[in-house]
Amino acid sequence: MDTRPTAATHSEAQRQVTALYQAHALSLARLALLMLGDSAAAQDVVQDAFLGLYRRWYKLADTGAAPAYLRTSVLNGCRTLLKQRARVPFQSASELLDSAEAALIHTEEQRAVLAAVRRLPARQREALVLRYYLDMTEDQAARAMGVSRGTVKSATSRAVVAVGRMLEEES
Amino acid sequence: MSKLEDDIRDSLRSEADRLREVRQLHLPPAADRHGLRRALRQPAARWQRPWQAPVMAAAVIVLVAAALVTVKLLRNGSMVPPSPPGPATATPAASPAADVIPRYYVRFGWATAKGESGSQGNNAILVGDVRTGKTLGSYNLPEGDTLVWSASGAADDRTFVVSASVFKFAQHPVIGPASFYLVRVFPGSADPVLVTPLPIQATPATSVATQVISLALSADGTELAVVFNTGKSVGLGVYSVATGRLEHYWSAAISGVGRVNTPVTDPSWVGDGTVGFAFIQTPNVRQEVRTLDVNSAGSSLLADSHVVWSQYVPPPAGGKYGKGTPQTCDTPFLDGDGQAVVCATSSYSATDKRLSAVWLAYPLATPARPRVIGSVQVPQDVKGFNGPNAVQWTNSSGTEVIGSWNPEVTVYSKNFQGPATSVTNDFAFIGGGQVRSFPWSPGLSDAAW
Repeated sequence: MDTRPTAATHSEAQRQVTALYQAHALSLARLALLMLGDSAAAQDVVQDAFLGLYRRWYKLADTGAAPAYLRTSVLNGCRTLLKQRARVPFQSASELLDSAEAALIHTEEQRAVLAAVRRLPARQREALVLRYYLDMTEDQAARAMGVSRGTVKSATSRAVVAVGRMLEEES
Repeated sequence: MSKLEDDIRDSLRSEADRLREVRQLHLPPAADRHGLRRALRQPAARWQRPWQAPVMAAAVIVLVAAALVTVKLLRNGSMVPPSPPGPATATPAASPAADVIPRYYVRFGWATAKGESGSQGNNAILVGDVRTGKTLGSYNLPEGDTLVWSASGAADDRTFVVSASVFKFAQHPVIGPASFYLVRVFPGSADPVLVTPLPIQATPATSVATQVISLALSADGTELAVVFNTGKSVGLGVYSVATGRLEHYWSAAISGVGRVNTPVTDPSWVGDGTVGFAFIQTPNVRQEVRTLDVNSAGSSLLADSHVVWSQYVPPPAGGKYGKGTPQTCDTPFLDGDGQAVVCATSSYSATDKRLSAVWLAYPLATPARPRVIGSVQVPQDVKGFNGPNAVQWTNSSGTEVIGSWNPEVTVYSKNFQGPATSVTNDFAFIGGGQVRSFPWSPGLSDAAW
């Protein structure tokens, strides 16, 4: 039997993926923004995740799992981008504009907290975002990060302590 | 959960809320199976390889520069005829941005008997060339201890109107009456600056004790909007430049509010039938931009105008403003297209402990999402800005500005006992993602473009 995708399959995939995009893209982009600190890069990562979903749509056994698949793709995309940035320090123009805009929106305390969060190692930052922004349990965060529950617990705890220490140093 | 954890949660949510929309999803067309395969093979992330970032940045700069070269000079909403060929000029003229910066400006200063600007002489209107920093000509004003003045330019970069009022120091200072002058620039001619008194008829704007706050000359230079403070009311009048006749007049009662705190400021023209102005209800906290239809009846500045943009920033607890305390955006101008409000503010980075002057455009359609036109981060030793950062000029679409900021630095000198404060007046052209400082700025704090 020929299992290659037909034009009708593509059309259906396009409709479904577009509907998912409308429902989830903003929340995923916000998640990526917290990870990357750059709204343009965050949107790039989200676009990539949806393009990847579209590519694999006809292979998905359970389309209901698509939101979880997308979140994992976005987190993977963020990790990849953060690794690249670690190798080549680079501050994009949109990042600079983001920080100027953010400076107007956040309180002084929030700016200090966010600056401290951005200085955390990627894994600690991810644990913090999943636990405190997405309100995931330790088990859920562990599944999303692909690590053990204990790792999530220790990463979160260390992140909170590190943020507190950085805030004290700033004040 | 500890307070720190609460703070982290609140901060993350606040940061996430900053993103209000995402761009459209671009999927390959369903019928284009080759296109789909191409999309699958090609990585879509922008910086897949680190070297692409500087290469792409260089390409963007080239494209922006090329775009700037082709942009025609726009001012107050109209297209400007091409400038006549002038002599070769220095620094900024060599940059592509020079083509979009208005070239000529007027300012108040001192002129010697020979008409050159200098530290001695009479009060004068000076006309300068922004590309060279040189004074083209001057016009001596009537005697007075000090002159209060305002100015505004038309779209052609050759026509300006200046108001000047004598201000005599005394126990009760004497102000006014105001006189108005039409300034025309003829580059390359033997007499490049022609100044003629305007026949503005006797009105509240020309009465003794009235202070002219600011002017806006329409793009075609035929109409003049004047904001003034009579001491009992704030008024906005529209005059015919040709006849001096008062065509429209609106006012609102105020009491005992000085020039500096006049709540109506920053007039601008949208086309030739609408005047925009800022209404500062509570400085740093609440302000609006309103529009007036100059062809409609009515005389109440507030009842007959429409709010097109407003901003409210709660004051800090205790009322004490620090470096990073949010406040309203200063000098809010409605752009010539009537689509955005352009203004200046400042921000403070707790990470590197540095202040920035920031210029923003708030689209009227999406006011919650301001565009950053550009920003200038000042050195770490700058302790603050002396007075608000400002928009001195903006193009008709609100994408480019001439901005000013006054950084304050504490200096220690052998000649002084203890520290002193040094303030500089900085100017820059900001647009196209770039900031180009003017190579000189003395006197520009009194300039109008």
